[in-house]
Amino acid sequence: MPDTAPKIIRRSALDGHRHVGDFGTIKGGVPGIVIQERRALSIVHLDAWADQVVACGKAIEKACGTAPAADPVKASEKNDTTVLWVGPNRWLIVEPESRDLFATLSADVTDDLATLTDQGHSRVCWRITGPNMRDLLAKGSTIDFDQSQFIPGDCVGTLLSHFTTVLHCRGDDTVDIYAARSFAVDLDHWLTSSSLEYGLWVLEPA
Amino acid sequence: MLRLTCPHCGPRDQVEFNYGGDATVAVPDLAADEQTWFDAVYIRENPRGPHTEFWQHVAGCRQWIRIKRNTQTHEILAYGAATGPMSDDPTGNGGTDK
Ligand SMILES: [Zn+2]
Repeated sequence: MPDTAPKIIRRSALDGHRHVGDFGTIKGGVPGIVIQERRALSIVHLDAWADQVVACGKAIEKACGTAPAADPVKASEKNDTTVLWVGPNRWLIVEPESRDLFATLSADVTDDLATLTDQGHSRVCWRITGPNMRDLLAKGSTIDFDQSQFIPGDCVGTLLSHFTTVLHCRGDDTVDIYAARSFAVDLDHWLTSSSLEYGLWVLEPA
Repeated sequence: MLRLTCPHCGPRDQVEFNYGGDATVAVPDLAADEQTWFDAVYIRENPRGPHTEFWQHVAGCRQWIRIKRNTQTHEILAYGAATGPMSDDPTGNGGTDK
C-alpha cells in the first residue's frame, strides 16, 4: 500500500519569491534598510471573554511568562514571547516555533476565559531595521512614525500600502510587520521596491 | 479626508474605517409592526449639523465605534465605543442629538 498520509510541510508564503542580497543605492557600505523574514513563528490569536480579561491575563502570564500590556496599542515581551494587542481583549501571542504554543496556552487559557485560534500558518512577519525604517513606513501609512510618537513597545494595527498590518515597534530603528499570508508576496514587493532609494539588504530568513 | 478618533486606538485617518450609518436608530421590538420595521431599516434623515454615526475601524482594532460628526463642517465632536459612554457624554446615555 502506498503511504497516503498527508505530508504537512512548513512553507513560507515568500518561498520562491525571496531575493536575498544587496539592492538599490547603498551609500558608504551602510544600507538604509535591512529586511529579514522572521520564521517559523508560532502565532495564537486569543480573544478573551469581556468579563474574564483579568483572569485571562493571569493565565497568559502563567503560560508565557508575560501578561499582556496594560494599555491598548502596546505589546509586551518576555524572553522569546511577544504579546501583541490587536483590539480590545484580543491579542496575538508570538514565539519562534519550538514548543507547542497552542497546546501550552490551552492548558492555562481555558474555554471559559477566552477562545484560542492557531494563526501560525496565516501570517508573514518581516523584521525591518535601519536608519530609514521610519521613512519607509511613512511611504505607506498615515500613522505618525516620528520617534516621539511611534516608540518601542507600540503595537499598531493599520494600513501599510493598503494592506492590513500590525506594526510592532521594537526599537528606534526596528519594526516587526505582520500581514496576512495571502498578501505576503505583494507586500514584500512593496517593501523591497520602496527601500531601493535608501539602499537595501535582504537577509536570509531568521 | 477625515481624522476619526477610535476610542481604542486613537486618532486615525478615514481610510482605516468603514462607514456604518446612523447610530441613533433604535432597533424595534421583534414584535413591532411592519411599518415600524420598515422605517427603522430603510428610512433615514439627511441631517445637517451634529450627527452620531457608526464606523468600523476595519483596518485597526476591527471594532464598531460611534463618531459624532458635524455633517456640514466635518468637525469631529465626540467618539465612543459602539455602546456605552461617548467622550462628550460620560454618563453613557448617548444619542441626545440627531
Ligand atoms: Zn481602533
